[in-house]
Amino acid sequence: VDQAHKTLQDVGSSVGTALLLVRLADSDKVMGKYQQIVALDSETAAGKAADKFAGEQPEPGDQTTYKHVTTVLSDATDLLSEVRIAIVRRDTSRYAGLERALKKTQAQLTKVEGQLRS
Amino acid sequence: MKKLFAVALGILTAIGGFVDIGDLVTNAQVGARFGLSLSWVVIVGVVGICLFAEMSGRVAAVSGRATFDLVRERLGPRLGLLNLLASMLITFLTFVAEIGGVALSLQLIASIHVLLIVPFVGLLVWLILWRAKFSLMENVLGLLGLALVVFAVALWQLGPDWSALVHQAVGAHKPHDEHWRTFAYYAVALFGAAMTPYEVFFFSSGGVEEGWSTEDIPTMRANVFIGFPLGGLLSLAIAGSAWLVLGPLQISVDSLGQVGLPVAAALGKVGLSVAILGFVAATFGAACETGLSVGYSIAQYFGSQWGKYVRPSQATAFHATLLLATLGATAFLMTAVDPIVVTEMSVVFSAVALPLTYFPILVVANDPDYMGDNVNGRLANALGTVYLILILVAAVAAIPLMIWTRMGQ
Repeated sequence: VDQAHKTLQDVGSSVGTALLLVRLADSDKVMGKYQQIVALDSETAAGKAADKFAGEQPEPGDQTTYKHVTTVLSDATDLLSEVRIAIVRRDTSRYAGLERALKKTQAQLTKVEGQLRS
Repeated sequence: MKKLFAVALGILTAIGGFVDIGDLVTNAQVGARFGLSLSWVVIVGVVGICLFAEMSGRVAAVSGRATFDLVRERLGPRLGLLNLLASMLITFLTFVAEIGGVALSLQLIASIHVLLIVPFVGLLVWLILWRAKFSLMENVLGLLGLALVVFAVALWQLGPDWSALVHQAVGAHKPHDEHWRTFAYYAVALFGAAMTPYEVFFFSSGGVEEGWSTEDIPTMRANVFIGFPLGGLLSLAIAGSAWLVLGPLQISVDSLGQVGLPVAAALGKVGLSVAILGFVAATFGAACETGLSVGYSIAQYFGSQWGKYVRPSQATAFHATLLLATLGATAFLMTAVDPIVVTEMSVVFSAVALPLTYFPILVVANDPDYMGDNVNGRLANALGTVYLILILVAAVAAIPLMIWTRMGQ
């Protein structure tokens, strides 16, 4: 549970970074190459954290939690890949939709983290 | 007029040269998580670095020898060797982090893999250490480092609730969702980042390179007592802007790209470009300083010829050390180690090595045989002793806190 908590926080941080980046990119406040590096760093950091958690051996009693957390983490990392693809392609038409999806994912990560605490 | 210019230039380069990769990363990490609640640590650290930099600068000006040149002579070869090993290892680790920092900064402009940039940066650093004039290197990179003032402008532009920020800073209020042990870990890391041993080391050796005499003591004091605190304000501006922009999104800083985002939010592309210039200059300047410091420390301990004012053919051991250190740091980074992790390690291990670095400075600055009338006064000794106790506490706590919190997690 501790590991899940930590991973959710790490991936949440990457999602938060991507959310900020998409907002700033949408308002043309960040240079293209800088956007690419931040998007790629966020995706890589989240992927590493999620992979590390997925490689854990859960206790039999924690199986449901493990499955739920890995699903949420997988969705988040997939979304971060979409963000990176859109940023590299300068596909500005997708930014508004990605911003909404990132907000939703961040809320989901926070919710799961809260459930783990309680 | 010339004197005034020298003082102004010294102050400006001291401000621009104060922040390095450790300060950039640690202040942004701390700011995003704790706001300004740890700003008291920055203040304590800045007072400490001013205190010991002034002592080592005074030693260089009075004796014409760098502080650590005198350490072996004053404290004997055994304690001198311990001091050399501790400070040199930390300085080397910092050198690795700074070269990595330059590569990460350039990556933000070039968008190519950092491992392709590292060898180029290593070569450039070595060429500057070998060929560039000391004053040119120090002044150009120090002045360009002033670009980091953009963080203060960004903080102002973000329009924070100043009274809330001041309240947070003065009250040292830890956020409710953070644990005390993490708070303590970052306090030690910030302290280590502010009091990095190489700063004092470079400062005193630089004084010898520039041929300081007792007449230069007032200028040196102006640089230290005005330049360093203003540099400390830059650290606080980095933390404050991170708190306002990264904090609400629960972002924990683990890349250099994240550090610049608050500036982009406040000032757009122009501000971000200036911030990147500041990143490159600050890390490049610190890479040169740490690289030189490795060479200084070894040459001064073994009593061989050293310095950029000496022809390379007359200081072959010194220049060979610079080359080997640069090759070693570059090779270390080519193992694909994360430069940000190296930076985090270097600031914590700096805290561990602080007593071995600063205790000898206090001893030498107190020795009337070396210092004559310029020996430490009561205030300097009292503050020095208090700081040695603080440094000892930080050194003892650093490793256990690092393990206990898993590096601040």
